Amino acid sequence: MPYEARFTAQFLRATRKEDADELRRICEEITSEPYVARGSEPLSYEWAGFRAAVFDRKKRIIYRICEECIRKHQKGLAPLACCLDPNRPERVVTFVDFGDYHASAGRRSLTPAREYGVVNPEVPPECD
Amino acid sequence: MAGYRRLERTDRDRLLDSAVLLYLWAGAQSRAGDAAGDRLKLAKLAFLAANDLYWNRIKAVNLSFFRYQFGPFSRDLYANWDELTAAGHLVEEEQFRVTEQGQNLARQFGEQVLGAEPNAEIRHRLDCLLDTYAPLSTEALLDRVYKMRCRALDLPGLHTVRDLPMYTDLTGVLDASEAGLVLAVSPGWEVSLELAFHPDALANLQTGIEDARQGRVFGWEALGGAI
Repeated sequence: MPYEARFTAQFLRATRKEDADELRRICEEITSEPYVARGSEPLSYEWAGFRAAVFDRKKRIIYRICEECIRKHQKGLAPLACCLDPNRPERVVTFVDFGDYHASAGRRSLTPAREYGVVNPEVPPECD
Repeated sequence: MAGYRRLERTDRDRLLDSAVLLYLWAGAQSRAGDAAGDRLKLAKLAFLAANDLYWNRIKAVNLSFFRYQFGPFSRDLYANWDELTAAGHLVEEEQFRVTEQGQNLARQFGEQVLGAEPNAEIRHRLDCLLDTYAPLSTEALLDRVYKMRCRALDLPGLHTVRDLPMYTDLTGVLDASEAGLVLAVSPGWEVSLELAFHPDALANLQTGIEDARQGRVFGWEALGGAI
């Protein structure tokens, strides 16, 4: 049985240019299997307690699974309203953010490695 | 038979470099005082790390250093400085200062990634380097680097840095296949670093969290429609 889905205004704003049917299909995929769908990975640092799933090659969906948050005692990490509600349902996925945060996004344009040069073969790889 | 060396980093290389350099420079700041140091000091610390790791065939820093006016330098550092500054982890005043946010990321990266068993040697090398060189002033560090003997990519043997011709290549970028040890980063941490080094990601997350706290959450009916 799929998890209940909740979408923040931030998530809805960030996805407004995406194909609605595709977005719905992918969100349904995530609510069906939130721990494994679309390469889901638990995040760290300021995103600890959240997960990221792949939307397409570069864009990611950031979400939280209520029951995982409770199980891992992560309610104190950026608590959502549901974390403070003692009667909350646990099978809830809250979609919090969406975007292209790939390593090349919003940064100086970089080209992939492709240049090679000859190096002197007499230089041994070992350090002294 | 000639070998080959890579001259450019991939985006992933740059991303992981930013994390390792932030760890290095945050460590320098904690050992030296209020600031990590000026550009010269940060560049020399990065060189010492890159030189040690590259020639020991450890892929953890992917910086191509060459001999320049004030000793070893890498143009790649500009991208890391820009990235870390734009994301609020580093501030350039008279000297570079790692912000509280940057120190927090460096500490967690140090504990959870570099502190993991597969990366123990990498962390040990970085910490040893910091203990030795971070407390030095820029002038003292420059002097130590000028006097050190190191390898160069196109010249066999060891050379004193001061005596190397300008633009001599000192380190390159290892491919994982030619490295004896590669920095191990979990997929979750890799995505977390992409987010941490993106200039808008944290603000967007905080907006989403605030929406959830304030009840600005919607059901399936709002998906793909106007709110």
